[in-house]
Amino acid sequence: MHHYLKHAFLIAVVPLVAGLLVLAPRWAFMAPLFLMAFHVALDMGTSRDTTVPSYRFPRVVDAYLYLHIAVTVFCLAMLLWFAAGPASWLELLGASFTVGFLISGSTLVGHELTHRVTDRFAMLAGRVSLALVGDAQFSISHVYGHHVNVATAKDAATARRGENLYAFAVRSTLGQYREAWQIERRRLRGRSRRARALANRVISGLGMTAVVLAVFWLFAGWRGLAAYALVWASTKFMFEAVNYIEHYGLVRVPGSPVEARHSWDCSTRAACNILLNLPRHAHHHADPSVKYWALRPTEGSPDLPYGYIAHIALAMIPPLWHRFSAPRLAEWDATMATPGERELAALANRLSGHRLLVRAAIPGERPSPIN
Amino acid sequence: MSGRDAMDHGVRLHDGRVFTVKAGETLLEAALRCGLRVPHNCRVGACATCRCKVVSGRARSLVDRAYALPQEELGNAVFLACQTLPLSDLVVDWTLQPGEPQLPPGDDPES
Repeated sequence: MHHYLKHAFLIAVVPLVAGLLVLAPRWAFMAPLFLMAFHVALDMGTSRDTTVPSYRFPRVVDAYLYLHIAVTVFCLAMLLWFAAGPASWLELLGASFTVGFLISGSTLVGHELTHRVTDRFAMLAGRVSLALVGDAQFSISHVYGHHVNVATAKDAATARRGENLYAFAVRSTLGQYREAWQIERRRLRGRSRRARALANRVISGLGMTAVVLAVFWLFAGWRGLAAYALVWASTKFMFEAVNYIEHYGLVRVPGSPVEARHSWDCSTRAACNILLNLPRHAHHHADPSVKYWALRPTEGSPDLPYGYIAHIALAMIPPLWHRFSAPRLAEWDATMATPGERELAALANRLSGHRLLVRAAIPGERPSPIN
Repeated sequence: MSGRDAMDHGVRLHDGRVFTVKAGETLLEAALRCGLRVPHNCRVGACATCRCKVVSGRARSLVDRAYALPQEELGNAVFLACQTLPLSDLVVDWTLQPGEPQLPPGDDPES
């Protein structure tokens, strides 16, 4: 029973909090803080979860994904109702920001479903899940860009050494759109102009988001549009923060096999259970067709010791993040990297412009690896 | 799973090695299960490392091959082993050079 419930946090708690916050909008800003604190406490205060239960009814844990889409629609509807009502702009700001935070799990769900490239229904549901938070392009750039180019300079969604979270979020957002657009153009080359426009999945994804925008505009005018824009920004930020910590600073020789060492893995309980095992990231890259409940922790991948939310919080304060990550990257270079990667890493350290990393590029000045 | 072939199929490689693809398995999954060393990497049908030519027999691609293969190879029976189901017994030439990934196209080289 417990195994079935452990991935149900989002669909159980998110609609509850969304309901509460339209009733008590003054406290809206507290909800993300409270949820993050809960997540961190669970990560730090309980043992790691390395279990891979086998499910007799995998359809149950699979259904969570589809239920989450309904939860997202419910949250957006609550926000729309709130925006159309008499709430002050400040209350609307808080509610929108928080709803965005709450439904950022849509990107997890969209990610899981759009990897099922051979299942048309899952693909459509996944793209809807992503489009609800304005990011349907991810279904293209992630599968056909990120999975090929991960940990190389070609990949928009791999954070470079010394890059701070905020700069990364902007570069990655724009870069992913650019990749998705190029990938679709390439796939559709040779077709007529009209066929290209109709079949282009970046365009159809934006179209789905445009429908959401239109509904917000129709029922709540400018307040509705502003609310949805904030939802988009807050979801996107959480999502890019996850992208940031998944591969930060790791390097790979282009064309060489993607291995366990090219993803930061994380086995803390809240991260794995709440975030649908996305933190078991090395296994996901080793075999992207594995469903979320069957992902395993991977030996030989670098470890994020404190859990996803704690690391995101660290990344939000760049000086702290660099102090945390520089020695860990030095450790990675020394113990995991191939000779070719070590050269790329030294170059990345020099280019980073960050003193902790530049120093690591000078022999004998390496910050002592963590024990 | 729906749409998948319910039969096992035999595959003979260019060098004479033979293996069986079980129902629902991709070419790559079967080759790896049989312990063959074959080129592969991303396993999502994007990097084109596992591309191979179906010399005889029929196969079905699970994904749109245009994502990863150039136009001329599409009409030339080139498949991505990680996304391909045999529909009959096959003869496969798996010696194609694992070319540069096609995606994303024509932009900045590594610096």
